[in-house]
Amino acid sequence: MKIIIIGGGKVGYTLAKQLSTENHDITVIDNNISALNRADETLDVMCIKGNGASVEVLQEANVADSDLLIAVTDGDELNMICCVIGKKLGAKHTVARIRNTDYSGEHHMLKEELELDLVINPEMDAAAEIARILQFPFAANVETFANNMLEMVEFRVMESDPIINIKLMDLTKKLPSKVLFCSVKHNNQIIIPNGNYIFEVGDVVYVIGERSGISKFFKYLGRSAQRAKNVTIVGGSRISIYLTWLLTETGINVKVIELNNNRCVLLSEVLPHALIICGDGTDQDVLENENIHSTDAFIALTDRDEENLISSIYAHQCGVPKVILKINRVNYIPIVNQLGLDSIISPKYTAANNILRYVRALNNSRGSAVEKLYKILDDKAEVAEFTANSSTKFLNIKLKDLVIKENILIAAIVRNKKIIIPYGNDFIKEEDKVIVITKTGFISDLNDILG
Amino acid sequence: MNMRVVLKLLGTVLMWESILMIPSLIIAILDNSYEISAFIISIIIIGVLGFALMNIKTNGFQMRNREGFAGVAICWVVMSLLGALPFYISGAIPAYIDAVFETVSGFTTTGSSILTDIEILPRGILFWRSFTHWIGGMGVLILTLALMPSLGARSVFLMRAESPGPSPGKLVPKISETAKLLYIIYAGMTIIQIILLVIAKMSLYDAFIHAFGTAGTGGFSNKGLSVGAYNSPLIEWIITIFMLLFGVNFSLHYLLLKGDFKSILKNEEFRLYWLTVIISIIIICINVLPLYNYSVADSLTKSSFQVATIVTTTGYATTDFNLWPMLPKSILLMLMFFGACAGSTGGGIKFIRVLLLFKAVAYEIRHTVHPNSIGTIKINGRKVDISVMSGIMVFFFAYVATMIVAILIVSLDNFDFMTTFSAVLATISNIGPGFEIVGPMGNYADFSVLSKIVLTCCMIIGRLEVMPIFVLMSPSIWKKR
Repeated sequence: MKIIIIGGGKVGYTLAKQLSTENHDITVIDNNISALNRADETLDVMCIKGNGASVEVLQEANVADSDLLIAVTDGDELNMICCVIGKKLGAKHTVARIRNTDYSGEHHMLKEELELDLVINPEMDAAAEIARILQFPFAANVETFANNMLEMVEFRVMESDPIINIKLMDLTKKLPSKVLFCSVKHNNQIIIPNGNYIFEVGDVVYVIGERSGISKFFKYLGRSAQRAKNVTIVGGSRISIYLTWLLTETGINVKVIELNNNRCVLLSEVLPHALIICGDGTDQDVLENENIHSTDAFIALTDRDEENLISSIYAHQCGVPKVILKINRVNYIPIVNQLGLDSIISPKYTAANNILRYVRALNNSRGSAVEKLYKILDDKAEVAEFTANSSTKFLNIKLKDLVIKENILIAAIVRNKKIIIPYGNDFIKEEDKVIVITKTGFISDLNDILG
Repeated sequence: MNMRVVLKLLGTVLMWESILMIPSLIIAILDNSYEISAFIISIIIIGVLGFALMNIKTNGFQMRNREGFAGVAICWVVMSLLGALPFYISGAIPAYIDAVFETVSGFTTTGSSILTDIEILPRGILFWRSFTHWIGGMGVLILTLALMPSLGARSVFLMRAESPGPSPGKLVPKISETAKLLYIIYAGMTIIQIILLVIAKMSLYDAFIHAFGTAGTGGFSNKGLSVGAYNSPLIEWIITIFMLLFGVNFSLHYLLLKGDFKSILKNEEFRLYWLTVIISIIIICINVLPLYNYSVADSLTKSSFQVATIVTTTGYATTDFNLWPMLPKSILLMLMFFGACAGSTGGGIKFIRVLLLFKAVAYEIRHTVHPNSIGTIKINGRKVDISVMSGIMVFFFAYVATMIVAILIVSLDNFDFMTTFSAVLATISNIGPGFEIVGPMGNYADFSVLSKIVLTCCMIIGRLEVMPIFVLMSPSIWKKR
């Protein structure tokens, strides 16, 4: 596909990088020459310097022939204008990033009136992700599939867990509920485990199943499923506002610590149900005063990775049961993981992944397209959700009779709102939702899994 | 500098070089001539070396700016040293340094020759000699990029180092697609020219030779009298027009294919190029009218051909312009400096740089008169980045400085000033013929070995536009980190 990306910042760059390796023709438009130089030197893309809302620049980028225009500049309004003009000039699809809280309730109308095909709000998505993690305090990360029916949870194996030193096939018989272990990171290697795999302490495991099944599984592990009641948020950024809205709705007590006085006043206006503290969230005294030891969850959401890291390490040492932090520079995530902090949010990265999923679905409008896509374990594996339809070549064939590529696992099938953890005798029917895990490159069509 | 990346790149290039020798071998086999074994030996040596280097493991190391620039320079040097093998092994050119001079002259599309009698050489050798023009014209690394996209995203550094012009750009988002497009346009134009030359009653073999020389703006002919040997105004006009077309930025040819005439006509470099060409032709035509018995047609044919051959840095000849009056000679000397357009196959400083340097002078004058004035230098309605401007000035100085050093060394041979000066200018600008002894009907055979080495270096420095070769001389590039 021919794709124009306006804005070469973190999201734009991540998108350009991923999409160009997936063999799309990418043109990046940005006003900032140094951002363009970086893209030009490291990626196989065409760069155009200029204002992405200008007709001349868009025509130079051949917008009339383009399949997709993605506007991810700093300004919401600019992104909207880029998309509107782009569509008028012939771009087939448009995606805009709109993140101002003022527009948050208006996405639906914006989409219709401006003919946007997708609106991305990274901060809102990140807030939703954090809220989801807080529902499973024992898990590092939670992703949902099939209209939230199916959940995939990441956790780290601890010494006290009763799942170590036992073969996976014997373990599954002992488990109280049906769950599937879909991938494991063991000594920095990604493994799709088979029946002979034995868990070791320190493994990072992704387990998939129904919400009740997952809860039962974690009870079996002896981990408390107590939901957080008191949450402390450091930093009054946009994510904090969205998150506080989500949390106060469900009756959780939220405390927001923000340094800037004016910002605090604004926060108190938009967040009437939360307690707003004006103070430095990296200052131990401030945190002690706000009784950090008794909070159930600590979430660091300032704009600076370093501050988030410092305050999170402190909270972790104070014994806060759940610590979540925001990191913008994704290459640091493995280092942060080593410090024992597993729950990391990077909104820009999430946004890039959301757009990526949309692009792949577009690219494959005829076959069974990707409906959800998550990159897990430092991007080394992908989890994708498809809906089987008449174009799927292996309907009603028993899975054990299929030749499936190596390193690909069919993790779950959802049929008529019922979840099937598939074994050899199961098969895929039309209209089934199929969740596939792969560690070898991307698959854009369900038929791609055949060997 | 990471040597493994560079060596792997070199291996790929050598692999292609050996493959590109096969057409010459086929011609040698058809003629059953004595150079068959020379080609077979060369192909095996280059191919085996290339294959060995290609299989070096780079451990996932990515190419950086320095590997790109140094790699291109090393590839060109080694490619030339090995490309000389068929000449040397077959005995067509007995001295190895002469063979290297001839090969470099071919790859850099200069067209300077040390051969005194071309017509006694076998056809396979002459085919290889002209084919090097075609390979070097668009660039062997760009060919590699077109055929092997696996070199990765960072190969943009290779394109920057090999393509002429201050800021080479892509035509389409993917670099391999850009390289392919460039070669499709290049090959397409070459084929059209071959067909036209055959229609104009040139033999097929000669048409190939002359189309290669025109496309690469090189200038090797298989006739002692060059294009003049055919004594056909039709052939002269076909070659004149194609020389001028190959001297235009290839991105404009791409726009032409897309039907975007407006952007082409708006292009300032394009306009200056044609304006200079037309004015030069008119002045020279009027000036040399008496020499051609006041026949406007003859005079126009000859003057157009000489202007085209010099401005595009091709170097074919239909007449000896040494015999012309001083004004036409001075105009040709000026055109030797200018060279063709950026992004074409021609050499020289390039019109866009000349244009921008003039604009910089105008800007400086205004700034002196109105010291507080703020302004920007623009081309095609776009602001020129200050780093591009300083790059052009540095390039210009380095170019002139290289020329001065080369002139000093070549002066040891004690030829007259015009010969010495124009020999250096004609090699660094990749033109071929200069004035006096090295004029259109002369050759470079009389220079000493030292001068030949210096002029060989000039050709490569000129073709790669100075920086890649100078980068090789930086000590820090040879350190491990």
